Amino acid sequence: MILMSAAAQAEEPHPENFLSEEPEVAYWLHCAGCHGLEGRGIPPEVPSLINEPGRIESMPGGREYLLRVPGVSQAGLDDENLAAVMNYMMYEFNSATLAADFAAFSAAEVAQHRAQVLQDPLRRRSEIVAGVQ
Amino acid sequence: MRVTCRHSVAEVVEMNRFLDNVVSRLDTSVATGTRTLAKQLSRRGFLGRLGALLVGMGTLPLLPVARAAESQIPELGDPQSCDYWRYCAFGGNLCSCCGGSMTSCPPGTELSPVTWVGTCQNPVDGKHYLISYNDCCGKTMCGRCGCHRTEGDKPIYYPSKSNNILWCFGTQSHAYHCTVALVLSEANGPG
Amino acid sequence: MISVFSRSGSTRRLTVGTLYRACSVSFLLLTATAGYAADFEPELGGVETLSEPGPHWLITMGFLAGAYVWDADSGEMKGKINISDYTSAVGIDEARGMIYVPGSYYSRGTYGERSDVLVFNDLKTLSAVAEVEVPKKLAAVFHRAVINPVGDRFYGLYNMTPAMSVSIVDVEKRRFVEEISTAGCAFVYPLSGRRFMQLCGDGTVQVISLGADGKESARMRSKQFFDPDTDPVFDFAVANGDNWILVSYQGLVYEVSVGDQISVTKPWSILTDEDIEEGWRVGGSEPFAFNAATGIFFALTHQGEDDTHEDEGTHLWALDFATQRRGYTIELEEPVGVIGVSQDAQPLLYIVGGYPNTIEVHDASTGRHIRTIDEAGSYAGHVQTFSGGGR
Repeated sequence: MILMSAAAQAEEPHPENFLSEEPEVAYWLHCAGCHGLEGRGIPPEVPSLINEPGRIESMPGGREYLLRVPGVSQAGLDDENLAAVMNYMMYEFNSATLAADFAAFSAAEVAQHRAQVLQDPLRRRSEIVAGVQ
Repeated sequence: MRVTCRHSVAEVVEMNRFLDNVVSRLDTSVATGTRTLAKQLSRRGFLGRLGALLVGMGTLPLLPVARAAESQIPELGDPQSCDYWRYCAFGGNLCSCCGGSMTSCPPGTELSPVTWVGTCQNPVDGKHYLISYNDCCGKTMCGRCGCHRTEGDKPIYYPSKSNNILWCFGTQSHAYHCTVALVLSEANGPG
Repeated sequence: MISVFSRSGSTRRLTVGTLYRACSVSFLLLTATAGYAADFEPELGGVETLSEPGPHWLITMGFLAGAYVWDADSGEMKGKINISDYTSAVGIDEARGMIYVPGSYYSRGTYGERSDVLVFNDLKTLSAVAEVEVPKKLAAVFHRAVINPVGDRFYGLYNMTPAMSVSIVDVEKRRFVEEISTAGCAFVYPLSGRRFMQLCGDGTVQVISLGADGKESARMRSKQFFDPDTDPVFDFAVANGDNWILVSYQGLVYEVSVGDQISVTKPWSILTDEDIEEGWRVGGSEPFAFNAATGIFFALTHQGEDDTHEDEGTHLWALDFATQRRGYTIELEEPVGVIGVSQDAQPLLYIVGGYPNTIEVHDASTGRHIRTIDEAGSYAGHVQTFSGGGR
């Protein structure tokens, strides 16, 4: 038995990158199926994307968390386009709770955090909300 | 080219996995298509091949005028056939054969808010559109016009791309009845 | 008066005299055998119970078709198990003589008040004897690994809402323990040491450990070993002892073993270069099976393009798992989606297909056809075998 090392990312363009120039359309294709066209979700099973991510982003560990949840990290989008969709989502659904100094997600940041597997997202979320680092 | 949906009861009711084996009855001429063309398109690009063939053939009937008026985009083909362009990643029974339409659920069923979104290419304008495959829930399976197009289908652990999950979430009952195909928007071409 | 319809349709009334004559004839017949008739005891109906299942017993279940128990040695149906419309698989607990049925029920069939339960069925009587309520989240996916044991007294039930989680039930104490959130990872594949394995959408497997109380005590994740977009593994894994064999859409075979860490072998291909050139692919509903005692691996194959992984198989290939070489091929009379194999050392191979289903029973070592079990339900999604003789 050989311990498998992390597989290298495919060199060719990701096949899931059927991409629109419009992040909104990419959101619809990759996220809206569960989270809804308007981000309402079906809480608690499907989290709402309205105002909640904005709140979490400003908490310690929250920003990374948003990029590590399986729905984001496993999305069929490359880092650049995933960043665009995340920013769309933040501005579109979270204007009420977005920190004044919110910095848009970058492709590099997305790449860094989505690669770190979050094994128990629900537990991590409660830790963040409770202020645990 | 098969236009209408004529299945024996046995064929119609076959479903894969939870829906068991629902086999789309495509002519082999359509199925073999052109692989190179498909590779250049999205993985929902089967309709690319279909679109190319359709343009060549040009003998399919247009939708009835009433239906064409309802759709905001040009239409070509029969919404009661598995080959219909919107159904390129369709798994289930066509609501259009069950008392609904490609955009509406039959009476007394509930439109699922959770859905599976894919892209298909319109054969008339050649554009790719986002298609939302919402289930209609709350009654026993319709059992008519079963289609199972596995292009781009992935296992259940990759749920956003999996045909085999009952997508009746957020409804009063998760009994699966049939599936619609709603156009959400243009996909604006490959990035 | 008794009215008798004559052939022409008009009625003719029997007179009492006629009736008397008819009855007297009958009476004569009766009295002629009067001595026998007087001693005859009417049969009282009974209800069968199952004998102890052998290793060649199996269960098939189909979408909306119920669960059947079969004895492949005799070719007989042994009984049926009550399941819900959403039950994909059952738990077979031979040591406790039980069958566990996870199910979702509505008070009015397809609508009304919903309740999700794990129903305990006695294996001898195939009757419900108890039930445990579980969260109303049981996954409506027709898949084998929605219920499996974790350790010797817990069972894991897979949920989707579409969020993924696993409900743990203590089958010894017959109570619900807890729901474990498993976002991004699906199914319950048993491992030794009170652990279970899941398949994850990022190309990894996850292992969750339970404490003695049945609650999660630890979890770990493998490194990514497959690309879920370009070549995902079938979400149907096949047991090899405590290891799990995974096969990808392109026919690559991985084996996962879990000690203190998760190890995954480098893959080998079921398909040779020639096979690939000729367009051979693996595919089906439950297209793989493995018998550890003989080391034979079975796969359903067909010729087709990309994305035909759910096409039914036209051929069955039997390979020696250790040498990776093909032993024999069965050309199937009609396409088939489901296979299974018994777990003993004289294994039987089960090939399930058709409408209604037939189960073709073959000698797994030679491929020789032994018998056909007709009218075996319909739309079978998978086969579950009994180990025979308890655990």
